Amino acid sequence: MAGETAMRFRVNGRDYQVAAGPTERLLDVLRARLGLTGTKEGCSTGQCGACTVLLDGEPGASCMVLAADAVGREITTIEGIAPPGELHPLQHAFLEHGAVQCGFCTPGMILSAKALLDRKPKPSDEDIKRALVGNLCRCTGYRKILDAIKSCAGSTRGRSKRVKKR
Amino acid sequence: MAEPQMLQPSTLSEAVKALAGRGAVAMAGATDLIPAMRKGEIRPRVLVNLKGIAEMTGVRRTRQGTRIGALTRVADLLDDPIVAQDLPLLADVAAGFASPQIRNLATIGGNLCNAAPSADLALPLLVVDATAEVRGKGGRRKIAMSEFFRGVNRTALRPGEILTAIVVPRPRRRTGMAHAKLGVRKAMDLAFVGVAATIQISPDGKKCRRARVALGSVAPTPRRAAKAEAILEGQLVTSQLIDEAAEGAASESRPVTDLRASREYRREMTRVLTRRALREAFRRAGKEQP
Repeated sequence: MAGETAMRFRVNGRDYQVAAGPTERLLDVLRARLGLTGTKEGCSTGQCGACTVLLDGEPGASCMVLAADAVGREITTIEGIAPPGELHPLQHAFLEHGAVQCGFCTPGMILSAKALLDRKPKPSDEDIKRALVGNLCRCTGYRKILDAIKSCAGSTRGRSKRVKKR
Repeated sequence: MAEPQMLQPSTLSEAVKALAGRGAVAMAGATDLIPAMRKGEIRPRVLVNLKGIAEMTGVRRTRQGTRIGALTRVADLLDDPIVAQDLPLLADVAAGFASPQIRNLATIGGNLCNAAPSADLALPLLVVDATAEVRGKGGRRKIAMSEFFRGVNRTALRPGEILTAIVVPRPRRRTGMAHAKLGVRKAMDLAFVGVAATIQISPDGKKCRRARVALGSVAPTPRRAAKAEAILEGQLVTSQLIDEAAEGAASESRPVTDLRASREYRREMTRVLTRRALREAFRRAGKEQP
């Protein structure tokens, strides 16, 4: 495509060199160029939170960020929060609490929750709700999502857990 | 769609030069710009990314007051110690702005320049007589916040001009501020109606020396409610006076009916929220040290 330029991205601790167009979004680079499809495209207007990633540890809507603007930033997607084959405590808690129905909102929910717990390891219920205002779940599973996150309070700094084969 | 060229100036003078080009569009947090480009409402030939311009960042105190760089992100307004002290109302409004995912991207300058009728951050700035600092080909100039908004998505910026900072005068004595907002959700929602108010009281605490009322989402632009202000200033503050001022604000509103709310409902809620904001501002003014 005309107008593409080489850009370097740092995603999940790895460096990638990617050719991208000037209006290509970070979301497009992650999904289409890097194959990191854990980040979902929902509304494309920054309202649903499905495309949430962490930019230098803070949640951001990747559909609202031009790829060129993400150069030089530390990007974390759902694929990068635990080593391959293992689960982050939040992922484990979401499974344990049945906080996942269709799963489309889950990566964004978990990343918003991770950003909160990294900043405030023991959040109040109100803190958790405020941290999740930009993540919509259309299966109506908020109660279980809140429970899952609450169960991780004070514990996510530890090591990730190995996935149990079911 | 032809792909625009992206320029990343690192100084204001480079940015001004870049914006003089045909089809050049300024970009900051891009949270309004990206959807507008995708819908084809804006078709820039050149995108001028302002985020590398150091002069437009940071919050500091100057002789004129508190200077908030236009690139200050909404998230940074929430926990900036100077904003918390000099204009806590702005931090309050920022806390209710969209969501963390958007607050971490969107900038105060972008919110103002996009000039939506519901521009949340405009209201606290209107009620403290803030000034916009602007830089263009002709040099620097200042625009009073009350003159900044000219229509839906239209500002007083001339082509090629850049909003560089907002200057908030030093806080006045015996002044209380409050805001009230009504929407379906507490987050992520554009308000049906937003109101901010300040009241400065006389040393004896009984009269209103100075009043400012600003309305959001009930006219083509965020705007001051001059009638409400005139009803209050110089008068003994009573609950009847506040009711009259709230009535005045409602009569000045020019709301439209859309999918969020009807015109009539917005006008009625303008009255209710103005009354609430004024009562709270008056209460807070009384708590200030004389």
